[in-house]
Amino acid sequence: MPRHHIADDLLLSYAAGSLAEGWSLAVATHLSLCAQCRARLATAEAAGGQLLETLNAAPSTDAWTAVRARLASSATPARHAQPISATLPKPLRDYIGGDLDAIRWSAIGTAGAQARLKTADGKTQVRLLRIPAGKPVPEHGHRGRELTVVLTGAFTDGEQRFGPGDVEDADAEIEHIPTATPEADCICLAVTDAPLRFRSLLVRALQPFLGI
Amino acid sequence: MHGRQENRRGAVIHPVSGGVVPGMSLEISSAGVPWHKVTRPVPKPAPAWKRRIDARPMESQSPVEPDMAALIVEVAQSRDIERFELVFRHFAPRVKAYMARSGSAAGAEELMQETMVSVWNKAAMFDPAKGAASTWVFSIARNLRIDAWRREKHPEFDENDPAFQPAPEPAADTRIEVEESAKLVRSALGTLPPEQAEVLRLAYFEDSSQSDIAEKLNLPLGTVKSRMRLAFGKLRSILGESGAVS
Repeated sequence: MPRHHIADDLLLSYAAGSLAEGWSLAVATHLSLCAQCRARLATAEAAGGQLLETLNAAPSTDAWTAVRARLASSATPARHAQPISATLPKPLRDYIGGDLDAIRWSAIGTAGAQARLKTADGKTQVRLLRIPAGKPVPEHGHRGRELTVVLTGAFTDGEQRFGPGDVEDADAEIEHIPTATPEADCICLAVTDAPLRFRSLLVRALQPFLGI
Repeated sequence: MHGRQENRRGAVIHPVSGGVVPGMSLEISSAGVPWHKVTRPVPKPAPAWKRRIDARPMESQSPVEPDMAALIVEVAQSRDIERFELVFRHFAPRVKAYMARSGSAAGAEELMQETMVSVWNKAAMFDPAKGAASTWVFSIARNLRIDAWRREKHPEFDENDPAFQPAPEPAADTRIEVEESAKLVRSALGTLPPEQAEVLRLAYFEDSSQSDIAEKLNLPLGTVKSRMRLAFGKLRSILGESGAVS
């Protein structure tokens, strides 16, 4: 069970449907792995249901006739076939187009690799990061929020340890150095709402070319 | 000090159509009445004198709304269009109003119809043990709205996913029944302070992101987040759930 969870404000925005797609992908990834947050989500969605019950606007006079006509011809949605086993949760596999082995990595600097995932929101940057065992992610600050969900392996940041399913939720004030634990590479999903601003001068100089 | 202005800016004028949308008055905070009480179609009891004159059997005096959860389960099996009409009559006006809050009236009608067709098609996936009928319909409407207005997806977990991590043990016996917890959520919503209720209204009904809300209400982003956390904390505490996660 994950020990670092999705913050209340994010979970509420996700349930309300007003959270951009990139953040929502991180939330859905964590939810796939965390029963505790699914229970919290159920409360936030119940609020949506109760709020819906307070609304009222007259449908057009022929609405039922129109809907009725569409019912007869519509088909029940087919269930998608699931693979027998998977490492990454389905919401993420949908964006990658497969599991871990389908990720198309490109090197960042000398330490690690990344793969961008495309979303339609235009507000977030969504990437998979591979941090080599025992190595840090280049030190970085960022404008706005950064949400990191561990997928395989683990990293430490200061005193805290983040393992599979754990979420690190960092805001602009935090300067942090996630460092992969020595046993294995750490693969995580990182969502930011602004391009990362690397502090190391060299990496910063290369930033425009690396696209990070 | 901000209160009045925030409220004025928050609604009434529809952001897309520019016009005043029916049923879109600011029921949350301007009248000082809990929002859920204002538009709920609960008839006021007749005055005593009228009740004496108008004495009729209970059923006809207050027609009992059919149980939507039971009805959806029934329709999933029977595929009975006549029975589904009852589901439609209940939810269509609500879903239409929901869609109209974030888009045009014409678009709202179409999205409402799409939602109701989807409710029919997906009826077999509704599990009354997991949530109220209104919660399930809300989630269908919400996803269609995101797809239609923002052209975005709403990524969701899938319980049949092999990577899905189920709860270590089934829900404890102390778990509050679905219907009961829906009632508790409703009453908790009614007791939220106006400034928290307004943030929820913008997030749930007007498709406003946290930064949109901050801009609309002229508040720091941190204040919007903390109002959301406070509101959510209240909902969870009323259901006896554990403390805030941050």
